[in-house]
Amino acid sequence: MPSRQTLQELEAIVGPSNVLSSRAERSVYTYDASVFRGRDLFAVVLPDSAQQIAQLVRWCQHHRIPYIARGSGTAISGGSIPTHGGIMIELSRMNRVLEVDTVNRFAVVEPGVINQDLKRALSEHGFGQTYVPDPGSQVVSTVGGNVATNAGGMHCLKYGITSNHILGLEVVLPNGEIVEIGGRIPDQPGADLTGLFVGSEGTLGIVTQIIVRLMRLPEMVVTQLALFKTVEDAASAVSAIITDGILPAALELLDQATMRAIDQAIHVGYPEHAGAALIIELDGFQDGMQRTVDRVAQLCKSNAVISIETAETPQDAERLWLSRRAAFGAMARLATDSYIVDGCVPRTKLPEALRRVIAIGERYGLPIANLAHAGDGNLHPAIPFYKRQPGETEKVLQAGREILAMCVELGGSITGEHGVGVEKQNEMPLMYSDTELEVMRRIKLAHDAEDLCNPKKIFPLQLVGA
Amino acid sequence: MMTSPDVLVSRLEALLGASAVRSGAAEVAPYAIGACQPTVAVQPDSVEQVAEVLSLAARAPWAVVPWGQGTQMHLGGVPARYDLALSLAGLNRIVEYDAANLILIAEAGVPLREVYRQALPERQFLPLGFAGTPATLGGLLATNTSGVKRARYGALRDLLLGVKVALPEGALVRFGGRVVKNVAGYDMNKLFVGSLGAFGVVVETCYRLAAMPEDDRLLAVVFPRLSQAVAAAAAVQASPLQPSALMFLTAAATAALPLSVETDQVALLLNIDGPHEAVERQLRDAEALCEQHGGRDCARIRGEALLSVWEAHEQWHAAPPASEPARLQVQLGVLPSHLEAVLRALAELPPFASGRVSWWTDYVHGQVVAHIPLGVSESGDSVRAVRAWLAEFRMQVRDWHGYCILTVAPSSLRPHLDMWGESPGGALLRLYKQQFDPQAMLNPGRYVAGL
Repeated sequence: MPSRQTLQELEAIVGPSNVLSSRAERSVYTYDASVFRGRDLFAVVLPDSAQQIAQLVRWCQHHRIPYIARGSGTAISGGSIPTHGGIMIELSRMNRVLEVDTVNRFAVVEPGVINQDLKRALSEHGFGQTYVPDPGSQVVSTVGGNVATNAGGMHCLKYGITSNHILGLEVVLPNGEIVEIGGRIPDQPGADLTGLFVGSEGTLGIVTQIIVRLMRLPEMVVTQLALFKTVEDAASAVSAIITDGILPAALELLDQATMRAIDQAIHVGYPEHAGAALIIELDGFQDGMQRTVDRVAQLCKSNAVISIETAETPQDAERLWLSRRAAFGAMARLATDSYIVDGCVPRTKLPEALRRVIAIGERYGLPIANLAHAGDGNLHPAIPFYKRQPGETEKVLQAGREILAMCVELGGSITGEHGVGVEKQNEMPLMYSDTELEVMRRIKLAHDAEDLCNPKKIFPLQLVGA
Repeated sequence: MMTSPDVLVSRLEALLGASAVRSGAAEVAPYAIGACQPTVAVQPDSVEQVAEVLSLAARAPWAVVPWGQGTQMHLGGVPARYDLALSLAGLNRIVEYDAANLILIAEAGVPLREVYRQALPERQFLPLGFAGTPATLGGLLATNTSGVKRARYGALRDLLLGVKVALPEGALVRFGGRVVKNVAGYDMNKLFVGSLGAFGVVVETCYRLAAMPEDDRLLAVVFPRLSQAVAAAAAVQASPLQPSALMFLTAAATAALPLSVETDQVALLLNIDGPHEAVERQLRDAEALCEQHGGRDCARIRGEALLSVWEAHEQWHAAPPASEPARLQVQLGVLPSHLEAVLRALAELPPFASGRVSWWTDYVHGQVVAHIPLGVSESGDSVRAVRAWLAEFRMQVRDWHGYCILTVAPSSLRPHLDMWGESPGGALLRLYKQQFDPQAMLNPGRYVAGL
């Protein structure tokens, strides 16, 4: 139980109503969307400004208390759980869109802005511009959280990951200093520090302002659903399309188990006989679009497509996307819990990777549903399971680890878009040598030698101590 | 323990073979930076050798300046110390070209034009520079030099997927990888983008490639006045058009255009690529927009003629050959909406300029590369005049959220000028320098914040 005295100190910084300290309140913040749980917190604080955060960070530094920033807590790798207790800095009050400049194509936002809210605010502006990154969690996840994990989404194939859309940041460093890196225009002199901070999972400081790049919405969008007999056929079609020089906005792959789960949940009407589906989105100018659409259909046909249909109306297209976005939610109906694996392989290795995922599942007696941002080679096998059943969680995590090792073996990564957090910290040696990890950690040590800022994450426990 | 130069040279010879080690004033002269000349120049043949050279140099300790093709050695300050020139020209292998995954892994010394040559049969390209760029993959990375088509294909930072780096202590480390989505740990690639070798020597790079567009055209339009060209560019950006490049230039920069541009007139360039139909439609729309804003003559350019425009663009950014009159070259960035103001400010001749200031401007990224001709003078007066102008100009640019780098200065002035100006995050770079290169042996004094 935190002492009255220390709570008063925190209250003096953020105001009495913005410090949560009851057991129930503290307990809620020991979770995120992962299967992991953190330790008891000292208090949860809800600051309103970079200055308050700087004061909080200095306070934590002074008392040697760990602290961690949190958006909506949708991390699935445990990036936002307090592994060592301390202070939770909740950023939901910092949810203002500070500036929208459609002439110079940027917006300045606070980290607590919900991704979808930013898109909505921009569309209300009516300038036909948007902030592109759209992680699956966009309805609830914050731009700050997206920056912390360098989140991906459905449209990375053509438009890139979060990092490609961030021009600059204001950060409260672990020494309590407020610094600006990058800016409203690209190529500021010096190294690309913005790029280095994006994806650092809140371990190098707390981002308090984000300058995002705005892009013009395409004139025309064509959404198609292609059904295949097998996952291999669908994945080969993906490679064929891209090798042909076509760059779709999105190429999402769903296997039979995923389609079934979605159908049971929201009744889309995916046919029973299809082994895999591809959602293909093409965007660009009207002129020449039909030729591209025809070419994609032709490439699908040469990869044994069963059928390929184009959404006739924006509502039809929206329904298709809704079904894809509903996938993880639908999995939740199959069992009490669901473990989403996030790995990445070179695109051409996707058929092999997905085949091996199923084989790994069979070996563990686990049913696995495969879905993938296929154009990027980013696979998301989903494993429904029952956490309460003894040994089950460990078995699922073990299967997940095998899948990640396979991704690395095929030339890929242990995480395409969800981050390392605590989930994969001990898998980091699959990708990096001891020296490489030590060198990477120099960045952390340069800022936070005492490891108080979201401590003991990303790096193997062997390196950072349990 | 310090090692004497002679001992070091013989160790380098033992490591690399005598022919890869040059010493003596005449032999190292090609590696001079301004008035600074190294004691020794080496050309290792493998990434492992580079690491070993660094490890030897660290023991001396020697200050090391990495070299690619030497196209960007005019950047940054004069080295504070300069013992060893480390040429990466021997690292010229393409390690792997995986066309099906649009990935290229190549050593840092590979010239970009070689990548264009290799990827052409697959109808792919690496959207940096242009097809004739002699600069190396490592050099482009270290200087954060993006391609002419970055508005559509992304900046260098967006195309880079992985690096292998030789660190000052001699370790070889690899970061990133060969997949586009990879968030395992810190994105260390970014520390080396624009790092001018301050934290390590990049010896191998992995880039993502793009499919070559079906059609690739340039629309050039002459405008009587700057304000008209700027308004036209803004109108293009506010329209659905998606140019791969949107630039404008002063008459002095338009030699490669098949148009006559008079002094005071401005040429607007729009690069449009993609499927034929979309290109044709955009060219039509763009021409109409330009006409509405007062555009006069216009030309559609493709093929070889287009390449010569890109070549001129690259030349514009390079240092002038010794035969040309001395000039200052500044690269500045401001919000596009402030470009007109900044170009007008440049047009009010600085006191030391001997003629008109001319420039090449990238509207989309708010970037200007300006040439300021100098009356040659080595006097302290001219140093003071340039310094004063630079300080004032930088302050003004900063108010517009911008930056101003001096990229080229005559060797008589360079040692006396702050080439970089203030950098957001300069303090952080100093922290990292302390972690990565505490002896300050890599490119000392050339980098931002005096690093």
